[in-house]
Amino acid sequence: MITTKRGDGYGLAAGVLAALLPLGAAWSETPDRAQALAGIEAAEAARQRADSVGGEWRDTAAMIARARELAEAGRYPDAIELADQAKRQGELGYDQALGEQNADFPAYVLDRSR
Amino acid sequence: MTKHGFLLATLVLAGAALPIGPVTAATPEEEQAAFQAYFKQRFPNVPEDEFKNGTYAIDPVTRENWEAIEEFPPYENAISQGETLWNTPFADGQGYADCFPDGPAIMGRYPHWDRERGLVMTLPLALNACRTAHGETPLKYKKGPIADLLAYIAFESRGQITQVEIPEDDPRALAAYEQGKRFYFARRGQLNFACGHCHLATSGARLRTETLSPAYGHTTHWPVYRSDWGEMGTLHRRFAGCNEQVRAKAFEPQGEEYRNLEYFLTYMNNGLELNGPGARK
Ligand code: HEC
Repeated sequence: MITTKRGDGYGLAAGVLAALLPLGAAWSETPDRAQALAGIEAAEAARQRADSVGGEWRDTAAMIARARELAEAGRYPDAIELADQAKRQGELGYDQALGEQNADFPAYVLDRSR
Repeated sequence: MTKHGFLLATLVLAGAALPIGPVTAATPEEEQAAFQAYFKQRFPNVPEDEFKNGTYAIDPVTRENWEAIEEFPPYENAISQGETLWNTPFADGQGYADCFPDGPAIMGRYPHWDRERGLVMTLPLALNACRTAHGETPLKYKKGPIADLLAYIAFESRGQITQVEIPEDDPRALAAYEQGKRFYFARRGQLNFACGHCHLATSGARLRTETLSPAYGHTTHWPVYRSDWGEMGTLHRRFAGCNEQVRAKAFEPQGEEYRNLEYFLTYMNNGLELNGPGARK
């Protein structure tokens, strides 16, 4: 599931990249910038999805904020890497929360009353 | 842990969790009995009425230092400031005593299921409801004036017994308890720990410089002057700190998650004496 989503994302980004390449580096919206912004947007969506089930991790929002700063500063590869990590945290936190929604007393406690 | 290690651990545990669930659900009473029996068995030399002292009930080394601190309690200031707040009228001339005619010794009545509002009513929530009803701004929930007020109320309530009820004729109360319980046992954060991992199964073990306290005794002594904070803090401030410790995002103090958690945890502590405010490292 994750692979497909990723594939689509990169496919799209690659398409954008290809389309923009001939315009050259003078264009302010360079391909890397678009890619960084897309990565940040995807990370933010994953964070919000985790939050919606109470599964957000502590540092995800700060990572996204930092990725934004990096993008602003033109450090697109760093921004993309950080955004990808944040997105992964969002995905893991979402899965974790769903997996734990029926958490209960462990047997080693409850068995005592039986 | 590597990302893959984490994922693997999550998967193994998710799988392992499935067959554990008992076929017939236990009642809150059964769960409370099992919870308390677990700690009495785990710490057979700790008298029951000592659990309210947290880590100092099980760690003789830090206990000595704590006893010395309790001779000149760091929460004394908070108690007297809280008393002043309690007795200072609101702008409309009324005060806390008008909202809580049996006050200030009312700690033992909270948290309770509020049938009318359909939620778990905690003391801080009730204090702010009183304020807003009298045209005052609500207080922030983690520290500051609310902690002072609570310190005064806790002090006046010393000796009361924890006696949380889950009314059987309102299924919403049981649902709130269940939610609090699930919260307690759900793994969360990047470190993938549940409250229960640290305060049940590994209570008594050392984590860095601290001895992990048993969950039995966790709700008796709030608010707390914590040396690490250098000030007073509320129970929900501690909840937030423990969430962040496992690198999970903390929830809103006095939001539904923490109020239900408090309901469950305090119910587990039924029978223990209230001894707030407290001092902790
Ligand atoms: C990684 C281990 C860990 C986890 C997980 C954890 N805590 Fe803690 N908790 C601690 C440590 C360390 C302390 C400070 C020493 C002590 O009193 O145990 C503490 C203290 C506390 C205290 C104060 C005890 C006192 O006597 O004042 C409460 C209450 C508490 N935790 C509740 C929780 C709840 C609720 C959760 C789940 C949301 C939780 N903890 C999760 C490690 C943990």
